[in-house]
Amino acid sequence: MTPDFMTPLLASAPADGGLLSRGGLFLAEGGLMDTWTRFNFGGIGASKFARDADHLFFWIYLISAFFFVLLMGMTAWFSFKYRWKPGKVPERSASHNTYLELAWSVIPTMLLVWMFFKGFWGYVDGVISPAQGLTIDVIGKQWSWNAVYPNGAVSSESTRARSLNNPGSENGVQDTPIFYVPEATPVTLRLSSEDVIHSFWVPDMRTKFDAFPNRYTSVWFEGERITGDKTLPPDKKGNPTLGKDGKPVPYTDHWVFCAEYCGSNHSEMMAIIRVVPREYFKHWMEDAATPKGTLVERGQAYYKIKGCNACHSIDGTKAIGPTWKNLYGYEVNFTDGTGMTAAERTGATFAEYFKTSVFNPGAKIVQGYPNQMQSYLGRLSDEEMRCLIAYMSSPLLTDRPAPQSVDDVPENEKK
Amino acid sequence: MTTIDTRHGGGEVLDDRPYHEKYKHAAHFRTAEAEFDACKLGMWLFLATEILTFSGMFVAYGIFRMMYPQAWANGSHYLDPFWGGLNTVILLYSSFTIAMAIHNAQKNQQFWLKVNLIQTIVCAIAFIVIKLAFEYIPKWSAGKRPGSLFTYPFAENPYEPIWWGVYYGATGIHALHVLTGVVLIGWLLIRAQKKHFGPTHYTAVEIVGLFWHIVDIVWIFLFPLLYLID
Amino acid sequence: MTTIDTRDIGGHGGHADGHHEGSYLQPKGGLIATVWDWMTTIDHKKIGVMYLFATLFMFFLGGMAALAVRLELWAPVRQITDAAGAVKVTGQAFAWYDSFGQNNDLYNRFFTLHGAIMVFMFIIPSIPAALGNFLLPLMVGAKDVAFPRLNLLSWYVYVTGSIFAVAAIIAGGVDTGWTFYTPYSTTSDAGHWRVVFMVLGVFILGFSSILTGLNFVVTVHKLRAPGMGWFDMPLFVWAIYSSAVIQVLATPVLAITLVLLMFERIFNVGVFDPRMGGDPVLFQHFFWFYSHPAVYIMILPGMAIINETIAVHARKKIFGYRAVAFSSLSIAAISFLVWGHHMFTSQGEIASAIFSALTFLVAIPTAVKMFNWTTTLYKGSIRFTTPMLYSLAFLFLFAIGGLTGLPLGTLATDLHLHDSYFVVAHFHYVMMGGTVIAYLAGLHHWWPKIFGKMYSTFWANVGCIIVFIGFNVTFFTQFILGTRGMPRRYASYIDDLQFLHQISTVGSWLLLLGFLVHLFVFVHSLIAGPKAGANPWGGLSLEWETDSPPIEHNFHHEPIVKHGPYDYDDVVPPHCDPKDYPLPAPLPEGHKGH
Repeated sequence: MTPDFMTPLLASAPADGGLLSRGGLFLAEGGLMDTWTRFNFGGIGASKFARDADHLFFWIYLISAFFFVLLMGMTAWFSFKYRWKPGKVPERSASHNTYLELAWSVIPTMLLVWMFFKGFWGYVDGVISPAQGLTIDVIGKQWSWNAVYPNGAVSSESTRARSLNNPGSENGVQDTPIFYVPEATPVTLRLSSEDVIHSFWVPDMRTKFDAFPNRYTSVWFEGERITGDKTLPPDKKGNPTLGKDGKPVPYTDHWVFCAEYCGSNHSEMMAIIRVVPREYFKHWMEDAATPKGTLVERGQAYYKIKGCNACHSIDGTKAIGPTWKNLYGYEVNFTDGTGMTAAERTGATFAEYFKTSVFNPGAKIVQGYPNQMQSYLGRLSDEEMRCLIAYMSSPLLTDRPAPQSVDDVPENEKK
Repeated sequence: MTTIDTRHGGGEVLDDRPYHEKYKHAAHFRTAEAEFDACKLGMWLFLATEILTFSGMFVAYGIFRMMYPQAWANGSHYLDPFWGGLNTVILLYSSFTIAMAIHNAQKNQQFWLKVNLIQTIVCAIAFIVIKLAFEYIPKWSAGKRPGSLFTYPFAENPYEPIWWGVYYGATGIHALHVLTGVVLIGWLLIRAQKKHFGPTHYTAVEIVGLFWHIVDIVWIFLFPLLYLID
Repeated sequence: MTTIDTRDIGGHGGHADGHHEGSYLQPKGGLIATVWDWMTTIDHKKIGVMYLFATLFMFFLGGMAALAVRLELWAPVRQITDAAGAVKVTGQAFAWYDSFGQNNDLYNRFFTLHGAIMVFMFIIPSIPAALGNFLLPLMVGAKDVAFPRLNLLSWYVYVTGSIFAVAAIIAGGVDTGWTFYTPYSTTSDAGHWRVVFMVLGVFILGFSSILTGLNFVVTVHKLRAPGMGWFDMPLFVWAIYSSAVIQVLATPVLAITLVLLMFERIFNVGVFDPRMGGDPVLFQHFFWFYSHPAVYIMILPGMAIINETIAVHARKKIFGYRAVAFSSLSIAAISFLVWGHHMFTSQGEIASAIFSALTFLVAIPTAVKMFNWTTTLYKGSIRFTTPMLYSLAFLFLFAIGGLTGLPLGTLATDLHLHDSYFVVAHFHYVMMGGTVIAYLAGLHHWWPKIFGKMYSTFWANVGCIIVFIGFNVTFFTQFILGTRGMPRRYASYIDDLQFLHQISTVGSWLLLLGFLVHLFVFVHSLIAGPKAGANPWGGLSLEWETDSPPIEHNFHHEPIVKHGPYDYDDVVPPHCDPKDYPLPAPLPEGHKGH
C-alpha cells in the first residue's frame, strides 16, 4: 500500500475557477504559492482564514528561504574559497564592522515586526468568532468528541475509515464521529472537556484551540462552498441519502484531531467535520434531535452519543474497559474477590449492576481492567439508561438475550 | 606567631594560633578576599533562587486570591494574627541577633558570638513551636486541611480547601527553611565553640546570616498576605 | 610572543606537599584506590569526565526510546479481519498486551521516556556539566571551579535524580509526557508511585543544575586569570555564563512547580485540579516559565561550542566579538519573557499578542549570531576537520531550526502548527541539530585535550556525514507531516501520512548507524588512538597551553593573559610550529589592529 505522497500536487484544481486566481501569475493556480501550499499542507485551506494563514506562511517561507540561501551560500562559498592549503598564508580581515552588523540586526527586525502584526491580525480573525455564527457545543472526553447542536441534536453517525480519499477501508480501531456543519456559514464550536485537557484541531481549516475541564473556549470557521463531486453514502438500510430536491447530496469532509496529549487512545481521538449544503443541514439537524426507533435502536444510538464506544467495544475486542459483547447473562469476577453469576447478570440485578457501574464505576472493577472510568452521575437520564440496558440485553450484544417478545417466553402448561 | 614544638623530638611546626588566624584559603583562590567574595556571591545567587522558589507560591496565592476572594477572606479569618504577629516579632529579633553575631565575629568577641547564635536558635525553635502548637496542630485536627483532606464541617466557601493548600504549602516550605536555619546555626555554634571564627575568617557566619535574613524577609511578606487581608 | 609568566605556583596554598605535575588521568594506586579517588574527587576535570560518560549513557537510553517511537510509527494502528475471520489489531510494534489501548500506553511511555531523559538527563547537563566543567576553569586560567566540593555534590545530586527517574522507568514507566501537564499527570496511573518518582527525580536534577550554574557564575566572576578582562574571555565562556545565569534563576520555579505537582498527586491539594477549583493552565504557566528558559539552557552551550570550533578551525577571530557576547546575554534575558508562546491555543488574545511580540524579539540576537558565524569564515584558513564539519552541519541545521521558529511565533500560522509534527521537527532541528550536533563538534574538538588521544579523522568524518543525512531524513519529513496535519504524541495516524512516516523511521536507523560509527571511533581512540599533542588544532585559548591531558592542577605556571583568545593573525599558537600556522604580514607601524 503506497499512500499517494504526491497526490496533493496532482489534485485537480477547485472547480469554481480557483481561490487564488485573483493574485496574478505568481499566486495563480499552478503558480508557485499554489503548488507550495498543495505540497506542504496536502491541499488548499478550506476556509478564508485558512487561506489567509497559508498566504502569510508562504511569505514567511519565502523570507526564510532567502535568508537560508544567503547564509548557506556564504558558508559554502567561503568554505571553498578560503579552504586551508599547505603553506598558504591567510589574509587579514576586519574583525567587526558596525554598519554591517547594524544592517543585519535592523533589516531582520523590520521583517519580524511585519510578521508579528500580520500574524496578530490574522489571529484575531482566527480566534474571535463572529457573533452571528451557529454555535455547536463540542465536548471532549477521554477519548472521543461529542457535538451537541442548538436544538439538542447529537451526532450519532460514525465511521472507522482512516482515509478521506478511500472511505471504503473502514479499518480504524475506534469509531470516529461525524459532525455535520452547513457550508458557507460561520460555525462556532464551543469547547469544553469532561476530564483532562484536549485540543480541537481542524487541519484543513488551519485552526485549533484547547478544550479545558474548567472553562469554555471556542474554535470557529466558515466552511467553503462544496466543490468536490462526492455525495453522501446511503444509510444503514441501504436507502440512498437524497436532498429535498431528490438529488444526491454533495459534501466535503475534514479531519479533526485531538492535539493535546490526553492518554492511552489520544491518537484515536478523532472526528470528521462534514460540510453539507445549508438546506440539507437544516433537515439533518431536525432529524438528529432525537434518536428514533425501538429501545434497542435508541440504545445503539446512545452507545455512541454518550461516548461509551470510546472504551467499550461491541465486538468482543478488549479495549480500555470490558467489551459489551456477551456481558448480559454471563458471569464475571471483580478485583475485590466477589463476582456475579450468570443468573445474577440478568433482569433487575443486571440493571442495578449497570447503574452502579455507570454512576459509581470504582465500586466493582472487572478483573483485568484498570479503575479508569469517570462517573456518569448526572450525565445519563433514566430514559437513556433504559435504552442502553435494552441494547445490552438484546441479541445484538449477547448470546443469552433477555426475551424480546412473548414468543421468546415458553407458555406454561395448563394445570 | 609560629613556634617550633620540640616535645616529640622532631622538628614539626606546632601552630597554636586559633583556627581563624591560621586559616589558609583554598588553593584555587588567589587571595582570602577572593574566596570570601566568591562565597558571598555564591550565597547571593542561592538567595535569588530562594526568592524565585517562593515567588512561585506568591503567584499561586495571587491568582487564587483573584479567582476566589471570598475563600481567601474566610481563610484569613481562621488565622490568629496574634500568633502570626508574635512569630514576626520573634523572627525580626532573631535577624537582629544573627547580625550581631556577625559583628561579634568581626570584633573577635567569642563569648557574645556564642550568646547571639544561641539566641537565634532559641528564636527559630520558638517560631516552630508556636507554629505547630497554636496553628498547624489545632487547625489540622479541626479538619482545616488542604485539598481532598479537608473535612472542616463549617466551611462557607467551596474553595477553602485551595486556600489551605496554599497556606500549608507556603508556610510549610518556609518552616522547612527555618528548620534548615536551626541546623546551620547549630553548626556555626559548634564551630564557634572551637573558636573557628574571628576577624580574619568569618565567611560561614556571614553567609548563614544572609540565609537567615532571607528566611525572615519571606515571612515578612507571608504574614500580612496570610493573616491580615481584609 | 609568549603568554606564560614564569611565576611558580606549585607550592602555593594547601598543596605544599608536592607538585602535581602528572596527568589528571593517572591512576592513584590500585583499582579500588583509583575508583575511590574518582568517586571522591573534587577535580573539575574528573567530574566533567564523569558527567560526560553519564550524559552519553543517558543519550543512549533516550535514543533507544526514540528508535522505539519511530518503529511504532512505521505503520498506523488498524483493526482487520484476517482470512480465518478473526478480528486482529495490526500496526503496533510493541504489542505486549492484548488490548490496543494498553499497547498505545506503551508508546506513550516510550515518548515520555525519550523526552524526559533527553531533556532533563541529557541535554541540560550535557554541555555545561560535561564540557563546561572540564573547560571553563581551563579557559579562564583557573585551577578549579569556585566551589569544588559543591561541584562534586552537584554530580551526586545528578546521579540521585537520575536513579529516581530510572526507578520510575523500571517500575513500568510514566506516560505523562515530559511536560507533566495537569490534570492528566495528576490523574493518570492513579495509585502508582511511578509518576511521583519521576517528578521527584526531575526535581532533584533541578538542584544539580542550579548548583552547577551557581558554581560557573562565581567562577567566571572571581577566578579569571590575571590580565583576563571580561572581553578577553573566549566566547565559550560568555555563552556558558549566560546559560548558567538562566540555570540559577529559572530552575527554582520548576522546583516549586514540581513540589506542588507532587503535593497534588499525593494529597490532592487542588491547586491544579479543576474539580476542586484549581487551574490546570496555571501549571502550564509555571512549567514554561522554567522550561522555556531551559530551552536556552540547552542551546546557548551549543552556541558556546560553535564560537570556539569555528574560530579555531577557520583561524579567524569571531566576527563581531562583542555583538556575539551581548547576544548571548540578551538571549538569556529575553528567554524569561517568552514562556507564553507555548500557550497560544490556551490563553487569551492579549496575552498571546504580547508573548508573540517578545518571541520575535529573541529571534534578533539569534539571527545576529548566525550572521557573525558565517562572516567569521571570510578570509579564514578553513580546515575540514571533524569539529569543523560538525560546525558547518550546525550552521545548516540550526538555520533551519531557527527559521522554522518564525511561523510558530507568528500567531495566525501557529494556530495550525501548534502541537503538530511541525513543532516536533522545529525543536529537533534546534535541540538536536543545534545542541547535539554542537556537542559532537565540541567532543571531537576537545577529545584530544580531555583524553590525550587522537581519533580516526576519516571515520569520524564518515560518521558525521551519516548523522547529518540521517538527521535530515528523519526530521525534515516531520515538517511536512506537521503541516499536513499530524498531531504530536500520536501512536497512530491516517492513511495519507504513512509514506512520510516511513521515510522518517528509515532516517532514524541512519542516525543509529552514524552514532554507532562514532562510538566505534571513540572506543578505538581510547584503546589504540595515537597520542595527541598539547595543541593539535592550533587553538589560542588557555586550555591549549597546558598538556593533553591536562596536569592535575591544570597549568604548570599560573597563566597571564597577554592576547585575546582569537588573535590568530598575530600569535603563533602555543606548542605549534610557526611553519604550520603562518601569520599574515604584520600591520604597518602605528596602525592599530582590530
